[in-house]
Amino acid sequence: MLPLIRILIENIFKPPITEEISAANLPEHPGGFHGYPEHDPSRCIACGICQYFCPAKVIKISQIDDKMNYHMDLDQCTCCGQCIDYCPTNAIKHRPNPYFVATNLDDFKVDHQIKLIKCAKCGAFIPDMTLIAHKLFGEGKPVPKHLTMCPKCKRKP
Amino acid sequence: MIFKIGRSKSPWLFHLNTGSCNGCDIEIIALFASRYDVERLGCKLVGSPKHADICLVTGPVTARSKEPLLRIYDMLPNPKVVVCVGTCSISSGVFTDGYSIVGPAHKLIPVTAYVGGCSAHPKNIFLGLQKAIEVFKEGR
Repeated sequence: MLPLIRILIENIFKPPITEEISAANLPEHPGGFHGYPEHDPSRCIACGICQYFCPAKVIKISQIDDKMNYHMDLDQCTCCGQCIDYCPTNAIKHRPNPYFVATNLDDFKVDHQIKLIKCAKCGAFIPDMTLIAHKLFGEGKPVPKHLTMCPKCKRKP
Repeated sequence: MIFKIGRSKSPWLFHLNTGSCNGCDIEIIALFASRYDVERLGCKLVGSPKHADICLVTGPVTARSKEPLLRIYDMLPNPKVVVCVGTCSISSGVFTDGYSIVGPAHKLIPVTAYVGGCSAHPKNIFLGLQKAIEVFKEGR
């Protein structure tokens, strides 16, 4: 009985536990939250690893002429973080907060264009491997020749 | 006029599970606890659709729960608002094209607000309910 009375007296001086939430003033969220993935087209090389590992078929990558179209159906995303774990260039990051409310389903679609470079020999479109080269050989070093060629030209002597 | 003010001040909720995994259902119960207290908006969880203004739909609509969903939607008194909670309810999520899934809720009934997340965070459901209450304020 005595501990209960102590807790009751302590609670008189404590501030209320309820969080203030309104559409204009969203409270800060603690870090490390698995939010929706955010794609950065400037770092993406369109390798397709995220498309392979996504369990919900959210990510669809297709080539349109000289660009890669990176499409995300965020209305099917379960925020599991597989694409973020396996991305070789850290092009995808979690959102730091859980807020995502829409009145129209089109708000959940994300479409990004990723530019491709031309093969040094034949001119076919291949992904830009500069970021991978920086990761392998260190920043500022020149990109080796075999990373600027398409697979067919690599096999030729 | 008086009815419009009354509805926007006290929208009662009915929670409908159409094959959910109980994750979003638990978050809806957390919404009524003291931390994310939704009763400050005047919301109250009721057990009958005939008392409710807002219907919270969770889960991909399975073949068994299609008929209850349509019947409960007809039971809701006008004006009625449907809020889809969680990824499964928005687009069937990872259960898309399953043998027992008859499609997400927006194929069967008109939906006002979509609340994302798997499972949906109570803060996020709170914002979705605020969007639903705006509909009552405008008197649509």
